[in-house]
Amino acid sequence: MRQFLLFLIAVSFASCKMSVEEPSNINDYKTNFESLWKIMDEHYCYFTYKKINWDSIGNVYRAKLQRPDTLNYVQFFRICGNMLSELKDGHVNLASSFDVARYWKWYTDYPDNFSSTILYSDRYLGKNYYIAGGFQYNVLPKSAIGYIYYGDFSSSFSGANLSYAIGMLGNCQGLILDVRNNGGGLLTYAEDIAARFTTQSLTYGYIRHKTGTGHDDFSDPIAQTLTPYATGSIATNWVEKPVVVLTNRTCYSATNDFVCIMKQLPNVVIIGDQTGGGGGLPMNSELPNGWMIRYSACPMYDVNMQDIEFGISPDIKVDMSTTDIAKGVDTIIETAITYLNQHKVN
Amino acid sequence: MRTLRIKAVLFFVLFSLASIFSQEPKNTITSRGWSFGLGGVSVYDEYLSPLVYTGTVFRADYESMHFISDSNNKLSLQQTLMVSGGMTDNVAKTNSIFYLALRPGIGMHYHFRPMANLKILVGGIWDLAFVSKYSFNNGNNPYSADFSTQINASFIAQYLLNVKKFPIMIRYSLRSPLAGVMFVPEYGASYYEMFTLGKLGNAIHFSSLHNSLAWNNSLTADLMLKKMIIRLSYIHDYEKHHANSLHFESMQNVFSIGSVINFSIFDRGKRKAPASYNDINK
Repeated sequence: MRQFLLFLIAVSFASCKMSVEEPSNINDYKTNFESLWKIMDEHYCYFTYKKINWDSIGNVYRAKLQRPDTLNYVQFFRICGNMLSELKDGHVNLASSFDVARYWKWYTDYPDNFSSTILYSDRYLGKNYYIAGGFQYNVLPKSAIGYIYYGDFSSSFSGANLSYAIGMLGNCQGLILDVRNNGGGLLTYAEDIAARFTTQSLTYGYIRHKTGTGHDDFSDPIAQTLTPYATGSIATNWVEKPVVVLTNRTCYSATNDFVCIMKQLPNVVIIGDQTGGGGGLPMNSELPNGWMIRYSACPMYDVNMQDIEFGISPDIKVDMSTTDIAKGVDTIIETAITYLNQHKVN
Repeated sequence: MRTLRIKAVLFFVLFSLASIFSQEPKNTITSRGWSFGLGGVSVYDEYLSPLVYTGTVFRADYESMHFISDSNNKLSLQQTLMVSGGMTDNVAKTNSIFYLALRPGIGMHYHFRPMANLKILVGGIWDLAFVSKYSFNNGNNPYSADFSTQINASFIAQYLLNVKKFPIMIRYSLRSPLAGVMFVPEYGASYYEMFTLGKLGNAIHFSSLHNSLAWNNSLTADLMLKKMIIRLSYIHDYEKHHANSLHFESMQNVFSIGSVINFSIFDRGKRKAPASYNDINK
């Protein structure tokens, strides 16, 4: 009996070790390259939509590692970053302790359509604007049009911030909501803001996620629903009077999703340039050497199940003209003012 | 409304079970032990990272055991609680995962006495396990929770050793899950979908030996001093499970120290200790 017990104890303590093996050399280039390629192969969501042959791309860049002894870690990082750039995706980044590989052509290849110098001039927002959470707002000079600038969907705000901003502009005939140069942030903020511009629940889009390692292993679409904000005493939801949302190519990720929601609302018009896109909800993983990889994981669609990865077209396409810029005029804001003056609610 | 009703029923059932099991029968000795320890933990959570994270873990264990009645010295009730937490890092030290685990359990054992000073306990334990993991660098997949409830097989062997009239209770215990239910997120599901949109998908799974394996080992020595009992323990917890093409694994190795108290209130405090009573340690 005693021997049996000792045997049982010895076996049960000794038999338990982690079954997952770590690479013996975490800095080996080939090991890290294969890990990166596999993570993307199994998790990235746009291979089929973008018609990308990941096997072929892998072979091209794998060939550059034939003589790893001739590479230093910066060169290796560049090879990995260049391979990821083939995906043409702003949500794909490789982050090391010394650099972040990124793809920015979704906005660098297009006009800026935004000038903070002009925006903060006395013609528009000026210097004495109000600040509530991440919102900067005021009534535009010599007009009855309210203007709110929100430049970062990571910039936090409370329900009260939003109520006061909308409430203080409540007597205006129209509202400009400027989200240009807003590279994204939290999806929930996009829904929180949009909830102030409707009194009815509506489905504004869909999202899916990978259910397996195959390139086309996706869940059924899950509806994204906007629920109207339950109004309080400070301000009612802005649904009677017209709203213009201003966009440019730097509107990305959560901002793209926000524009997707606002486009469904009957009193809202989108003016400016096409958004930059970023329709894939990003998630993170990492390589054995500790470099962090971010990738598009969950594709999002508009209400017609059209992919929003490459952006959303405005209702009225306008670029800032160089002549206007020279005069200190923001062509896109001026177009919005004209639109709102033409669509006054009596 | 339906969810609220289910929660209310669940709370009532759990509260009732807890009330029933927490009642201690008269004229029986209850043994209660606490121990606090420090050790190492390894965590592998494929939802968060493809790498194993390792670090230091602080752990507290509580255990209470007594016979179910004053006329029965074969069947005992046991209540357990484990709380542990620690910070783990990847090998390159570029990211950390905060790890927190909580596991209350309740069970019964049948006592065999094959030879002098040796007791073998065989039984089952029903437990709830909640493990929370937070990865500091992840964006839309920063958090992973293992939630499960399982029926475990339990085996305890205890031997009373006398070293020069100094009694030491050596005890080995092993617990391993047989069947239950566990939560595992879908392969690529984001927490935005699960908790903002409320779509869990195929996240609840029946668990058994085909997809869940665990060994909760401990070796303890209770040093019976004149006025107190000191408990020294080595604990080795290993757990792995998989579902939805995701693999999860964790291991703890902890050395702990604590104390054991044996007590009883005879006839609810109305009289002194009788000549014979049911002692869980015998």
